[in-house]
Amino acid sequence: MKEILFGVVVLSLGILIIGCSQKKSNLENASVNGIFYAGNGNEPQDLDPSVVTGVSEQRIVSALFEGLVSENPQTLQPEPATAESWDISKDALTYTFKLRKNAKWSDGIPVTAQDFVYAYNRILSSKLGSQNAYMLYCMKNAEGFNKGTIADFKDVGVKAINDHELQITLERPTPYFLPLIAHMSWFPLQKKNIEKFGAMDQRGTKWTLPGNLVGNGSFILKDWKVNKVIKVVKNPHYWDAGNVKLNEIDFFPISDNQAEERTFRGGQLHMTFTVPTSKIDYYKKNASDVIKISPYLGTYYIAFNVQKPPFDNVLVRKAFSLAIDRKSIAEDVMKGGKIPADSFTPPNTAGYTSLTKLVYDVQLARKCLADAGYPDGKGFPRVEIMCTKLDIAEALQDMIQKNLNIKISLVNKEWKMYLDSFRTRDFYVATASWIGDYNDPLTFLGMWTSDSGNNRARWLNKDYDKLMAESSICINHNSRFEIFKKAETLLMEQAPIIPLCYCTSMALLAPQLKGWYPNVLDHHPYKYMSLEKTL
Amino acid sequence: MWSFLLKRFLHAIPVLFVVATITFFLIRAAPGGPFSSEKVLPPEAIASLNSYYGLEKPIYKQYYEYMFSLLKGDMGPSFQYTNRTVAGMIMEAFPVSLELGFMAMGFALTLGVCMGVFAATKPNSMRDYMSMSFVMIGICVPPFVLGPILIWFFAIKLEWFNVSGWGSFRDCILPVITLGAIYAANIARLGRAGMLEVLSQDYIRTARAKGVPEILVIVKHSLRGGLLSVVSYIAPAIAGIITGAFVVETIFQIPGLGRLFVLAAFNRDYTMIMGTVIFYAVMVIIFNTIADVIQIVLNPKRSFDEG
Repeated sequence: MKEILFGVVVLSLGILIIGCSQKKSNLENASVNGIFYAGNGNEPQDLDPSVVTGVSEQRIVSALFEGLVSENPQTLQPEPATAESWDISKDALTYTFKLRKNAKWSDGIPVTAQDFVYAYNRILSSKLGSQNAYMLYCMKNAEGFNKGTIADFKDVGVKAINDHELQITLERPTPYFLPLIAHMSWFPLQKKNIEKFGAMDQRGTKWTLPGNLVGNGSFILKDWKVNKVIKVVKNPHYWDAGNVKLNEIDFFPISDNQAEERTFRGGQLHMTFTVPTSKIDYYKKNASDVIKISPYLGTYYIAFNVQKPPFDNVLVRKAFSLAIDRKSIAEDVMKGGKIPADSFTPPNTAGYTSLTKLVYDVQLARKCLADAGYPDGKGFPRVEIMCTKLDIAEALQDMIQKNLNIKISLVNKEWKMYLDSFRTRDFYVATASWIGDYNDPLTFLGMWTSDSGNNRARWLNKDYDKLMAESSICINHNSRFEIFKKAETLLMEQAPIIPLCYCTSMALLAPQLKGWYPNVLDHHPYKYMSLEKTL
Repeated sequence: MWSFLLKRFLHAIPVLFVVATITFFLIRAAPGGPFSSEKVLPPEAIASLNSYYGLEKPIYKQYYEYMFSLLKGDMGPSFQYTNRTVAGMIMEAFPVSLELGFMAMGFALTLGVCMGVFAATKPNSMRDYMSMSFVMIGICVPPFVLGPILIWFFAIKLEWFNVSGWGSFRDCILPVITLGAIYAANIARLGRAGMLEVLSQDYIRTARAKGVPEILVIVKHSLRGGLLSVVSYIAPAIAGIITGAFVVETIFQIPGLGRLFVLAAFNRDYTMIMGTVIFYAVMVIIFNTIADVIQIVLNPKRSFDEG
């Protein structure tokens, strides 16, 4: 009897498995049909270009909408998109864009200058509470309107001259204006589409759901299954539809990078969102053509709470900076081709490279610490490093203990608790990273002014503020960069933060995928991508 | 039985009320809010977000308003997924979780009961030790280890299945085994213990003495009594398996309730946490009631009058 029972179980399992055995070739089928399978990190919060901020959302929104300019896939230089050309006034304050007559929404209606004005009015309306409204602050009176000091949107520097001409007036000359407006916060929106589902400044209406969303990008939203897949298909009304080679993109929200890597290995993805650190060495050794590691516009750093002793003392901060072996952190801890940092702004950010050089000098570090009143670490209060991942923090703890004879505790916090500790200034030292919003040094250096909300160190320095104010009114490109260099040197001397290494973007790419180019913003316009049918 | 069910229903109301109240105040006590983000928001934007979601009101008022709308069946909009409602997202994820949960439980029951009975029919034999060793492996190997191993072998090496995703029956097999393994192991242990107890009863000896074939002794005379403990185990386990499959859902990319539940807590998505906790509580109450009904039906020593 027992043998029969056992036999039944084994047999039924066997049948189940054998019945299901059939070789699959998802990726080949998809490639033949021009369907691009992309890993996309987290489930998108929404697809409203005025509301969303994350990279997962940006990757989908950039398929559904298009701004006045788009980015060259290799150089990121602005290229004509919905605007076919533009004029810049001599004082570099007024930009006049000529829109394409054949630029259309996905419902076939032409895209007009009023659609841009409407979108800017919407993102800047304080009731919408957009987290990206600050991206438009270079536009005249935009900040005032967003913060409620200017009541009438007519005073904001944007105007539709006619259906196909849009004029934008700036608060001050902004050398990075054209690259900036390729960002999704500058995308147009169709008034009729949005107001069909609610008021202009109402969040979370149903206009971004499949069947409702009208965009002007190269793809249309076809399907959205939460935590499963978002499908977009080629937009036949797109002005450059003839050059769009993909027929469909399926974005898979796979938040666990290990699961994503397995999915890629199992032949279900053409491209991953990232690569798990533990798999980097394997791919570099065994499949170097598949793993793509490229510089990314971001920096890992540690921030001191400079208003809290002992880190209110610049000598202590310098001692820490000198005692950190950045090379070891970049190569042994972070891996993935990370480069040890010599400055906060990554080198060659829009042509700017800082003059600073951060050295690893244990003797000098000990001297600084002794000068600060803690010879050989004696009398140094017990402090802690706040982090969300232990890898860097553990390496720092070890280096500080070994080089400065200071014992440090680690506090590993859940993400929201970590952010809250910054808000309440409840930390001594914290590991952090910063990804630039646009390709200009200002996105890195602007955050350390006294009035910046992102100044996590609460470092207040009048000389630095003055330099940054000077840079904001400087029209000459080279002079502006010279001011930035002075500011960054001051920042590194005062060391409210210690840059550790520059970020890299990582992805696994199937060999079928063509037209993907590495760039510092990790932006990859789908228009240029294609899938080879056979390998 | 109807008065029993009515009594259970009336008990459920204060339980749900207490669960909702405790959850409401606990999540608001957690540091960080739904809108804390890496890039600091201007105060004006935070103010308008708080006003949109009613967070600027005093907490007792928020509580009162939430409970009132809950009574009307409105769980509110999700803070994280701005264009979705909590009820809508739960209803979208629930069928997936239900499907996964019931299949995993079916697998666990089939395997667990067979193994338990198989082991119990010859205690302390090689067969018993082997089955129980297998069961111990099932208990000791957590899903985050078993899942990737199954994926590596069956999906990547043999290419029989997809690595992740949820669409066809084929996609269910690996997650069901991963999720069901630990339950199968527990059921096997409970089943073995229960069967051993029943098989040592006098009436079984009598049946055997009368010459009843062994298969009938087991299937007809022992199973019903031997599996009582399994019944009381599986009902709450089903509630847990439906909402608590976060790890398996993450490994296999399954759009179920478990991920909504856990990610809501990480994102401080207040309304989603409330929604999923209350939904989970309702599931536990329903399945516990079902377990009691089945226990009473199966066990002649119990009756519906006991409450």
